[in-house]
Formats: sequence, C-alpha cells, structure tokens
Amino acid sequence: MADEALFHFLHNELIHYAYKSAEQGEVENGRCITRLENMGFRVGQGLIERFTKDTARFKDELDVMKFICKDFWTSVFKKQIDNLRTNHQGIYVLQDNKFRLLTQMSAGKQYLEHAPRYLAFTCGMVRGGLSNLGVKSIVTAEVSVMPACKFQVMIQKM
Amino acid sequence: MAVCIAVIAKENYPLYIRSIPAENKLKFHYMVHTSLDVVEEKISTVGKALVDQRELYLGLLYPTEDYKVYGYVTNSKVKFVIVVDSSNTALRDNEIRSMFRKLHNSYTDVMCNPFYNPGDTIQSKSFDTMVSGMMLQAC
Amino acid sequence: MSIPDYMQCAEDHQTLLVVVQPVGIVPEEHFFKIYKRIASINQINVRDSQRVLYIRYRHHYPPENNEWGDFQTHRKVVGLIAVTECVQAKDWPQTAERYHNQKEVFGSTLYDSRLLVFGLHGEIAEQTRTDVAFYPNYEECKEMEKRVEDFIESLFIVLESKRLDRTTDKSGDKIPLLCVPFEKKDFVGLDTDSRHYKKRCQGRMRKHVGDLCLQAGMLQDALVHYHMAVELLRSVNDFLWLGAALEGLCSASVIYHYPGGTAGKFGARKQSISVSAESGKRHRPGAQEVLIDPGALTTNGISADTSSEIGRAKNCLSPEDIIEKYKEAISYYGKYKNAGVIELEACVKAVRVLAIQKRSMEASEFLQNAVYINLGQLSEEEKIQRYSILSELYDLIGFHRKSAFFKRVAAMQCVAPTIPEPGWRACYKLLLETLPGYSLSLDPKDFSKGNHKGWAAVQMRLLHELVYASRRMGNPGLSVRHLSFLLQTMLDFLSDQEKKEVTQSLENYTSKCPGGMETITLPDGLKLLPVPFTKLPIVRSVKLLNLPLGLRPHKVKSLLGQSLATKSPFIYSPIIVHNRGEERGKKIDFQWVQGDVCEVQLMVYNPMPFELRVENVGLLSSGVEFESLPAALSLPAESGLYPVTLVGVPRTSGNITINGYHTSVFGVTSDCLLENLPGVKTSGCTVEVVPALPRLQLNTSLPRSAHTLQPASGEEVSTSVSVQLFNGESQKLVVKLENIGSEPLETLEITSKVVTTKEKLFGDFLTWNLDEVLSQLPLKPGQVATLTVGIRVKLDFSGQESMLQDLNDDGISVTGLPISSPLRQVLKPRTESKPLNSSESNKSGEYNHVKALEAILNFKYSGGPGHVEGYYRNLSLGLHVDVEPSVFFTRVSTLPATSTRQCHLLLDVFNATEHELTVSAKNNEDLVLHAGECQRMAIQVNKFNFENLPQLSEETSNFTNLKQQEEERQHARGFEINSQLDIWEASVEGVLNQLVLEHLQLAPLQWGESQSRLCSLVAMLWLITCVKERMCVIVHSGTQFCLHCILYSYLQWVDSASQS
Repeated sequence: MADEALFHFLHNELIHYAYKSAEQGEVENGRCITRLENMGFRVGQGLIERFTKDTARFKDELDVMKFICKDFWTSVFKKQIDNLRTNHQGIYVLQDNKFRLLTQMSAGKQYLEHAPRYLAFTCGMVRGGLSNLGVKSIVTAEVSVMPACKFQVMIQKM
Repeated sequence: MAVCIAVIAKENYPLYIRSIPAENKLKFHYMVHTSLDVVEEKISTVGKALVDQRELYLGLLYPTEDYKVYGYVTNSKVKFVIVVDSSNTALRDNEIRSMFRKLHNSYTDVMCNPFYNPGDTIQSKSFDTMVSGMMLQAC
Repeated sequence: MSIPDYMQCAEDHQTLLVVVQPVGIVPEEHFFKIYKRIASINQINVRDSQRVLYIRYRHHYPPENNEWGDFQTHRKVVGLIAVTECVQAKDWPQTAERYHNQKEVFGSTLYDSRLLVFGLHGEIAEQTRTDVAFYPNYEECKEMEKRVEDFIESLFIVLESKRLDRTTDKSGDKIPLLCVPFEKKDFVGLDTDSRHYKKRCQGRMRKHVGDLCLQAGMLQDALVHYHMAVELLRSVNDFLWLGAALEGLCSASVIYHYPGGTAGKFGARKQSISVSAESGKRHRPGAQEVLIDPGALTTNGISADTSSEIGRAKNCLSPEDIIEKYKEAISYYGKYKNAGVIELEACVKAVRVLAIQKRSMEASEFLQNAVYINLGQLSEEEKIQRYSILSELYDLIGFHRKSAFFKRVAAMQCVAPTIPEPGWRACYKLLLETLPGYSLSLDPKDFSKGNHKGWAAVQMRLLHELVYASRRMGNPGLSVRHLSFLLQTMLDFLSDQEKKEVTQSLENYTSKCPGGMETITLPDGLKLLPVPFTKLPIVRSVKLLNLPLGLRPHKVKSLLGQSLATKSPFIYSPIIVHNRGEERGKKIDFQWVQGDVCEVQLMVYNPMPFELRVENVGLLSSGVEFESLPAALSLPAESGLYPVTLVGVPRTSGNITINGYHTSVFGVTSDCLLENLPGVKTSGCTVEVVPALPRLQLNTSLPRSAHTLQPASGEEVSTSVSVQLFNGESQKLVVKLENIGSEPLETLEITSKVVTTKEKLFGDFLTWNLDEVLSQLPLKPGQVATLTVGIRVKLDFSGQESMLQDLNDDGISVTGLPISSPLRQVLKPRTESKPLNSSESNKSGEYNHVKALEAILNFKYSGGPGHVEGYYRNLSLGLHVDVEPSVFFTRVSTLPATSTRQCHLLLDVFNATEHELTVSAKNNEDLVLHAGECQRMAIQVNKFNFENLPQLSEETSNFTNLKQQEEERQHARGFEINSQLDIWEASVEGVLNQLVLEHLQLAPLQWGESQSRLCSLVAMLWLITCVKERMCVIVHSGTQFCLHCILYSYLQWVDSASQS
C-alpha cells in the first residue's frame, strides 16, 4: 500500500521545513529537534487513544511497553520492534534493526550525522503515547549503523 | 434514560459534564464526584480479583434510590460516568456498554483533533450532538 | 432501643458493661477525673486463670438499651459504680437512699454495684463495707483502683456462676425463652411444648451462653456455642436470633483474628495481655484439626492446653467468612423493622472489619446499606451524629469524596430549619473539614498554576456555604476572607451575573469588616492564608520610568576610568527557557534621585463586566525608604490595556527594588508581590537611587514659546523661548534660576550650542558672564540667581547669493587698466524658483524671508549629597530667534579714491523692513531709507594689508583648491579686523563675493600695477555697529584697485511701531 510512503515523505518534509524556518541560533541549540519532538508527542497521544480503544486494560508497565513494541509499532511502521530489553528498573531499550524512516537514507555510516533529526518525531510519539497511558518518561534515540536504531525509554517516577 | 453523562480526565477533574434536566445540575456534580471514589477503588490494582482487571467497562458503580451510576475507564485513564434513572429498568447491560462504546469513539475523535489540547474541556459540537442523542434516545 | 452506639465494634461483644454515674450533685471536673481513673481499668487478668476480662465503661447509658441485654449480653449493664459527694454525716442516709434508687434503674441486670463517697469524715466513714468506699476527698483515693479491680472480680464471679448455670442447665424442657423487647407480645399464647418451640428456646439459650463465654474470656467455647446455636436456630428459622448468633460468631472470630482491635484509633487493645489470642497462634505441628465435640465441654470449659490447638482453625471463621456471616446476619436483621439499631451497629462493625481487611468496595456497600436503614424518628442531633459517623467510616475506607459528601450533609443538618438553635459554629467546622475531600485548599497559591484541580461547580457551592456559615456565625472577617478566596480563585468560572452578585455581597461584608492581608487563625489551628486579588485588576507589565529629562542625574566621568561595570552579568544565552526571574534581577540603567518623585507604569486590565473601582493603589518596595503616594482609579468594564502610573518618593539613597503593588478593591486590601505573578512582564525592578540633587527652575525675561526645539541630537529641551529680532540686532535675555528643590545649588556650568542651520552666523550668538552667577552660589532652596545672556544676531546681510553676482560696471579703474569685470550684480528675481502665487513685481517678498536661528543653552548643575557622589543635572533652555531681514546690500562696487590707500565702496542698500531706516557709516553722511527703498551709499575705506595678518595654520598648505585657501584667509582677516576694531557689534561678513573682495584688498604698495585678480583674495569687512538701537555700518577695507569709498551706514530705528 502506498500509505506508508505518504507518511515518510511527509515526515521528511516536516523536518526540512522545521529547519528551514528556524533561525540561526535555533538550529545550533537544538530547538528544532525539540519542536519536532513536541509535535510527535501530541500525535502520539492521539494515536494511542485510538489504538487502545478496543484493547484490554494494561496490567503493568511491562505490558504497556510490549504494546508499544508490537501493536503500536506495527500500526505506524508496519513492523514490530525487533528487540526489547529492560533492566526492570524503569529503563527499556527498543531496538529496531530496520527503522523504516531511515531505510531510504543509507545502509551504513553515511549521513550518520543527520540521523538524529529524523528520529526526533518518533521519540516524541513514543513519549506521547506513554504519557497518555499514564507513564511519564524520557525517550531518546541513538543510531550507530543505519538503518538500525535504538530507542531508550527512561520511566520517570511521578 | 441517561440523565447525566460525564467525562473525567485522569487528574480527576471534569472535562465534560452534562445532565438533564438542566437545573439542579449541582446534584449530579456531587453524584459523579463521589462516584469517582468507587471508580478509583475498582481500578486500583491492590490484589483484588473481584473485577476483571482487563475490562474497560466497570459496570454498576453504586445504586442509589433514584439513580444508577455506571462507570468505564479507558486505557488512558480517562473515565466516563453515566447516570441513569432507576425507574428505567428496560436498559440492559449491553445497552449501557454500547453507550460507553460510542462515548469512547467520540472521545477518541476529539483527542485526535489537532486543535484540541489534552486537558482542556471538550467543546466539540459533534461530541455534544452524540451525547444529546444518547440522552434522549434511550427512553 | 433508640440510640445507636456508633462507636461499638466487634470486640465490644466480649466486654462487660459498667456504668459509672454521679449520685446527686457532683462537680463535673471531679467526676470526670474519677471516671477517667476508673475507666483506665479496662482489662483484668482473672486470678487463678489465664483468662482476661474486658470492661467497658459508660457514664451515661439509656435504660432502654438495657432491655436488649438478653439478646446480646454486652448490652446490659452488669456493674454500677456510683460516685457521690457527701460532706456531712446527716446527709448520709439521703445519699444512701439515692444510691439505692439508682441501683433500681438497672436493677434487673445488675450483678453488683459500688458506691464511692467523697468528702465524708467521721465514724460513718470508718465503716468498712464492701459495697461503699469512703474517701475523704478527691485526691486521697489511691487505692480506688484496687477497689475497682476487686469490684470487677466480684462481677466476674457472678458472671461465671451465671455462665455455669446456663451451660449446664440441661434441665430438659424448662428452658426459658429469651426475648427481645418487641418480641414479647408475639410469644404470648404460643404452645410451649412443641419441638419447634423447644428448639427455639435451646437455640436462644445456646447463643446466650455463647455470649457469656465470650464475656468470660473463653473464646473457643464461645465459638462452639455459637456454632451450635446457629444450627439450632437455623432449623427453626428464628431469624433475629439467628442473626445474633451469626454476629456473635463473627465477633469472636474478629477478636481472634484481629487482636489489635478493629476500632482503629479508638480502642487499640493491649496485645500483651490478651493471652488467649496469642496462644492461639501457636499450634503444634501435625496436630489434627478436629471439631470439638460439644459433649466434651466440661464445666470449666475446654482445658487450657488442649484448647490451644485443637479445633481452633475449624471453629473460628476465616476473614472472608466473617464478612459473609455479617452479611447474612444483617439481612436477617433487616427483616425486623424494630431492629434497626442492631442492624446499623452491625453494619458499622462490619465496615470496620472490612476497613482493616482493606476491602473498600464491600465496605462501601455495607455503608450504602447503612444509610438507608430506617431508624424511625431521629432527633436532629442523632442525624448529625449519624452522618458524621458515616463520613468518618468512608474516610476509613478511603472514599474521601463520599466522606466529604456526608460531612457536608452533617453540616447542613446542624443548621436544619427545624433546629431551634442552629449550630453554625459546628456547621462551619464541619464544612472546613470537607474541603480536602473536594480538593479545595485554602491556599490561593495552589490555584495560580495550571489546571484547576477539582470540580469547580462543587467547590464554588462549598465556598458559598462557608461564607454563609461564617456570616451566620457572626464572624464577618471569615466571610470576607472566604468570599475573596472565591472571587480570586474561581473568577474564571463565575458567570457575569454571579460576578456581580459576589462583588456586591463582598462590598456588603467589607463595609462591616474590611479585608486585609493578615493570616486568620481559627480556634482549631487552621490557618486561613491571605488572598491577594491578583486578578482585579490583572497587571500585564510593570515598567519603571526614567525621571523627566531635566531631573535625570548624570555621573561625572571620573578620571580614574569607568566605574565598575554595572551592566547585567547575564550574557546572552541561547537557552530557550529563560525565566522571568532573570529579567527581574536586571538592574535598570537609569537612576532615580532621592527626594524626587519617581514613577512606575503598570499596564492593567479589568476582567470584570462592570466598572472596577480600585483605590489606594500604591507600590511595595524594599531596599530604600520609599514613600508611596497612593492613587485611585476607575477602570471601565473589560477594558483593554490601561496604563496606570504610580508615583512615590524615595527618601533615602541606595538600591530600590519594586516588589509589587497594593490595592484596595471592594474593601479588601491586597498586597500583590511580583514574584508570585509569573505572567507579569517587567524589564527590571531594581533601580539605583542617587543621593539628592538640587532642582532648578528657569524663568526668562522673554515669553515662553509654543514652538519647542527638536534638536537632532535627541536631547530634550526643558524650556523654550523665542524672540524676534532684526538681522544685526542684539537683545539681552535675563535668565532667572530658582532653586525649587531642597538641596543647595553648589556648582553651575553653562554651555551653549547652536543648532546647525544653513544660515551662516557671524560672531558670537550668545554671550554671558559666568562669574555673575557663580558669585551667587551656593544657592539655597528658594533663592533665585540671575544671569544675563546677550543675544546678537548677525546673519548674512547680503541678499541671496545670486544677488551679488557682479560688480557695477561703473567701476572705473584709476590706472586705466581694464577692470576685469566681475559679474555684474543684478537684481535678479529668480522667477523660476518663485511660487506662482507670489507676484513677480514683489521683489521685496524675497527679502522678507524670515530666517530662523536656534540655539540651546545648557546649564549643568549639582549640589548637596548628589554632588558629593559625583552627579549633576542638566537644564537646557532653547532659544529660537526669528531673524527678520533688516538691510540688504544688494550691490557692491568700488570706486577709486583720491588716495591709493583708500577707496570708495559703493553699496546699494536695500531696506527690507517696513520702517524708515537711517544708514550711517563712519565719517559719512547718513542715508535715509524708506521701507522697501534701495539707495546707493559710498563709503571711504582704507585698503588694508594682508601680509600683516597672522600666519595661517599649516593646513592651508595642503589645500589644493585655491578657493579654499582664500576662504580660509578670509576668515582670518575677518577676525583680525574685528579684533582691531574692537567694537561691540554685529558683524556681517561675506557680503561680497570673491571678486569684489579682490577689489578691496590693499595693494602691496605697488602703484599702478595690476595684479592678477585671481592671486589673492581680499576680505572685505562690513561692519555695522549696533549701539543700542542704532546701527552703524563701518566698512574697513582696502583693495588693490583704487576704491576710495568708505561707506558709513547709519541706520536709525524708528521704534515707534514696536514701542508706542
């Protein structure tokens, strides 16, 4: 289906626009990234509301993370998270070996320095989804070799 | 006939509350407010096997002389409360469930509206219309 | 039984009830002291046994409740301790009599009783009786406790005997039927021989025995008996007693499972003494669980050792079962409307158990049920108590909102219309207690941020009720405080109509008791924090204004370099989130002066739908003693941003910080601190206050002008005067400096600056004598110093430049050498540039062109402590001179004179005024000119030598342009000539153009030789002397050519027009 491509293109243009309309100082200090992340946050909130409409209630935090890895990721990116690790103390690492938004960019280390801005929106989405389910968190992402990337979720005690 | 429908945010303040008849709405405010205690009790996970933890529909919260209060909690901890007239015994559990379902659907739509900030009171006209339909229809 | 005992809990079933009552008149405090001492003995270890007795004491017990003693034995009074006071022996019989009467009240159930007599001496007091104890006074009764213990022991003995009686009373058929009061009539005439009836009796008796065992401390036996009773009664469907038996079972189980008691904070049991429960926890591993055969019951009950293990688990109910049984029991009770109290008490007990088990849902169901139990007619007091208890129980199970709800109902009940004396104080107190349940805190700071917690409609209602209650309580201060709280925190939720109503009632209340900013402390310790009205009006920005120009202090730049940088230490930071605190901390770069009125501008906004009257608006400040001058304002309904200027006078110097502002709205004073208002924009709140400086006011002899100077440099001029002068005229301006401040004026400097015009000004425009003023310093406050400033206007006396274009053709060279003809000066009306509406023939129109000259006279002054610190003030006077043209030299030509050292200068003089003028030049005859007339004058001038002139500066050697060189020389000549002539006069220079000036140059003593007219320029000086009102034109010049005309002009003013 072509709907995937639509989102990818939109996402790319979103980032492009954010950077184009930013002022010099903003680009340097990461305000653009913050803005993208905030956009993702709001989208995540709405998405989660829709996706969890018919599911049962979650038992605990781990249940929530599993839902994110499986159903949420599938709905948005048409695949699941490949690996979920946790230290059972509030830190979760979601690993996606072929992150859809990066597959078209490169297959190795090329353009690595541009990768962070393409992950900001997704980080925000995850954070927004979690927040709507009652889990306060901080989500960061890192990329070592494209298109694999890791999302790290740190649960905050409220 | 549903006499009062309320949507409550996860911080326990009302996002939307509407009741008919329009006067004496304070009474319903009180009723819904106190029913929150019961809702919280039901969804707390302190080792109770009484209620099916995984169901969103909470069922009858508590009956009073004139009214029956039903509750429903979404996964995002937003609570819906419907108050129906006790005299209306025709309402089956299923019907109540379907009312909640409709509420949930409409709420999801509101949530996905980019102009709606989560945490604000709900002012969407379509939501209003849906609620009005529910309040008058089930009689 | 009418009065429910809400404090009862399950473990009370094992207590013995003892009533302690006063007989006759006993002072309350003494009685209660004794009572407390007695009541402390609530547990007794029975002698020679492991059993423990529990006693419950009451000082008031309704006799009706006693009638239910058969039903549940803990309800009947088994012991009576009477306390009485008897001082005189003769009162003794009376006292004894009363005591006996009292005993009769509970007589039917009483096991034993005692009388404590205080205050009696004498032989009666010496008697040793078991039932009466005599004490001389309330203090000397140490062994009273011992007595009471003995008493309890005796009660125990009676109890035991009764128990044994009943237990072993298997005397076949004749078991009496135990009844509850309302049942008695039901059993009249019943067949007493039926099995049904017998079983009923047995069952009831069994249950009764169980009660007794429980009271006697034999838990296991009690359980066994109860079980038996349950079976018996169930078979006969004796529901009421069945319920009682079940309840008994539950109580015993509860006592077993919860040795700490279920009453929560009310009746915690001492665990160490309750032996039976603890020993019950031990069980021998491998012990069989066997239900004790009831037949094995002996008179002494199950022996201690075996009873500790065997059958314990089976007999006792599990915690879940307890609740089931309670439910069952209550349902049975529910069938009897007369058993409402029992039912209610059972519900309460069950709830307490459930609270401990943390099963709130079920507890709430029980409570729900309890609410609807109909107790018949309850008095108001009882209703209040009931709701209060319900509220407490809900609190116990964690349903805080419901608890708040019932508490509110209780509060409302306190002041129900049917109560003759409504208890408003109690109502108020209860309402205050409901606040946490509704998430309503009385601290306004909690409402300043973010989302509104809680339900606004409900909270508003509650606040209204608080206001009403406090008003009825007679404490208007509280009403004001609550109402202001409502207005402040719920402003967004009030409708327009409600806003009006609330403010009107607020004004009503504050007329009796104005609202203030102090914390009100209630008797029970709750503090009501002050509520500043930060939304009435809403302040959007606070800006400190600089002083008016004339009052601004300037700092003298010290020679040691710049003072320590007072710039803000905050460098530019690209971080997004910069808090407003930083902005506030910035110091402003202007200063205020001690003793002078300083202003702060607030932009405010009125959110109310009606006009808002704000009174007593002033500033709150710290750091410097600041006298704030309050203002009052009236803001229109829902105004936009409205500027308000608040003024004050700093009385000492230092650094002042504006912390906030205070207002008085609707009679309520509020102190609003800026730090609590995050939404207020401010560009800095700290200002340095400079020590006092003097203040001067300017007064001049000339009239003030409406036309203010707008100098390009951006300075402002405090005063402007304007004057109209003719070109060449002088005028004296007397300036009066008045010290209107409070500091003496110690220093003064005066400078002047001509605002650049395109007009060429010759000579000094403004002159003054500084010593004249300095001699008058130091100027004390109130004194005036005068200064005279001379204005001399000397503009270009030529017509327009194009006027002087060429020399007269009449110029004849004496030597015959051709006069290289300078351009003829022609009166050329410049038609092309003239506006169309001016007639061509009106040549004088061009000449009437009024020129404007502007200058600023600057006074720099200082004094007082400000001077010590190095500050000064500037005062400037603007001077605008409208220069009317007076005389024009329209044509210049030269004629050779008789001597070569002289020549004649021919000037065409044009009178551009409307007066008649007399022009006189030195040594010449006067020329009278009428208005608009032009005549020629001849003046004899000396040619003068330029070589004697002072050296020009080196720059001239760099001038490539010859013309510039010449101009430079021209100026030099001009000054030289002025100084030579030394006449107080207005000078006119440049009347002649270059070529004419050539003519006037003194030849370097070479006769007859012509020099190139381009080589040197001759400066020609036309001097017009102005002495008072006379104008003399003195021309001094010399040229190579023989110009031998000296023109004296003498102009005589006819001042008639201006002075007459």
